Amino acid sequence: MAPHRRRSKLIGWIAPVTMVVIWQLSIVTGLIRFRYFPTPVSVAEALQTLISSGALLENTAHTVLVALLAWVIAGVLGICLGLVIGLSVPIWKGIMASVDVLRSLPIIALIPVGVIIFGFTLKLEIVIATYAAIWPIIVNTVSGVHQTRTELLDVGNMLRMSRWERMRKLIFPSSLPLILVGLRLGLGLSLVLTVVSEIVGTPQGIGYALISAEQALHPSEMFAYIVTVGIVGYLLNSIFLYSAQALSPVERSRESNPS
Amino acid sequence: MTTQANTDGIVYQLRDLSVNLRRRGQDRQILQSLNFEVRKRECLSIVGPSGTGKTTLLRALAGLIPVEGEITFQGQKLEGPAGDAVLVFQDYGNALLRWRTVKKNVALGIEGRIPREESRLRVDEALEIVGLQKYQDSYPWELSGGMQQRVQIARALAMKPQVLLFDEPFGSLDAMTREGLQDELLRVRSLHEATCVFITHDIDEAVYLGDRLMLLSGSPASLTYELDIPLTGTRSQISTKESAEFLRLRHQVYEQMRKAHGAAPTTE
Repeated sequence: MAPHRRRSKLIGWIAPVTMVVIWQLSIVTGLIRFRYFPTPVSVAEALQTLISSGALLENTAHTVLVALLAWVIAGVLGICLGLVIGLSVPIWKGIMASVDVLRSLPIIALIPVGVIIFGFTLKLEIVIATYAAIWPIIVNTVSGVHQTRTELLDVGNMLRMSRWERMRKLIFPSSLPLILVGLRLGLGLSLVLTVVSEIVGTPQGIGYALISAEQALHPSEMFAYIVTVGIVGYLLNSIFLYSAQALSPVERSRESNPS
Repeated sequence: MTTQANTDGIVYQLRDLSVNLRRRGQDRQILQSLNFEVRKRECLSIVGPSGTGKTTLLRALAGLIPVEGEITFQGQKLEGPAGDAVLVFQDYGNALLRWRTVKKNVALGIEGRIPREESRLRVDEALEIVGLQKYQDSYPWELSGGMQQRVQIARALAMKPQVLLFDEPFGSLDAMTREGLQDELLRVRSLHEATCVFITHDIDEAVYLGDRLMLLSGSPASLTYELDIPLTGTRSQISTKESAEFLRLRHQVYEQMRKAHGAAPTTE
């Protein structure tokens, strides 16, 4: 099992490494000739300069903190709203159509609205990212609650559990796998929208550094930031999955028998 | 109304009980004017073909569904789950909490209601009765079906209920496991002296486990037959099931079932 898994992880590296090598070779050999298209080597050099100057760390810290803050707000609000909507049939019937319309709106189209309300501020970033992250969390929490088995609710009835006990001991834990799916989607969206609102306005963070590098005609630096966003997204997702599995026995069971 | 005196020795008293359930927007009558009682410490088997409403009857006894007519439980009108009657569901996979260990599943009905130390003792005791102490820290999905059903039985036992209601508890288990659990149930009953209502579509099982048997059939379903099962002594899978008495009783039930249905009953 273990060596097999290690091998499949190694196989996963083949494609990206090959791509980087082809990228480097095609520029060095003059196969593609764009003036502002840097080689991977010069991107790596730019990355190193940015790391040693501290700019990369500062910008990354800003973006990650904002994305996480927005995600936490969206998580708390989204789970609470999702539970309420999921538990009450009248609220669910009354509100779900609006939820579906609102979450279908491309969030990027709402950024100008946010700019008018909040200006180019930190608040803008947080509101936009929270707004983006909250929908998958709400929708998945609602489905989680709706998928609670009637047997389980019967058990709660039979044991004469209070509403609160039912929620805490039966409904919430049985919805947790889907809530985690919502949180994971929300985390990705939160990071993306944080970067987007930095590109559009807020003068801080990876997004702003990226667009500044582009405008200052420093393509290597710009690519260095793009690579950084990719790595940050990958790491956040991995950390999330790892902690979910460490904390929840049900997630571990899913891991061991993927049925 | 009945006085306290003549409800002694009677756990459940059903008077003209009917149940209507709403399915796909239509009311359908499932049970029609049932009148019977459940006596203290007996094991009452209720048999009937699949889909007759046996589970509905048991859910009514557990106080989980609204009924017409009257159910009296321990001398009082039943309005909602009584707390002293515990239902063991057929679908153990969904009745157990996947995210809790065996030990914590068994504690579900008593945690926070009795002192922690006592709760721990009762959980240990219940796990010992069903022979699962070694698995107390496993999760239900790590166990076999038969073991999961034992966890559910232990959860019921930990509550020390007056009445255990079994809804085809061994219906989805293989024959070997099922026979093992039947004997385990007899043993548990001899230790706990609880009243049992046991629902099954398996006539052998109903006769083997019951002190009394009732046949539920028709649509809407009603009680069409009642039989005392005077099997004496300790019951055993081999000798009891080969005894002339067992075969005679089994024969009688089959005949009644056939009569009620006008066709050979299937054992499914």
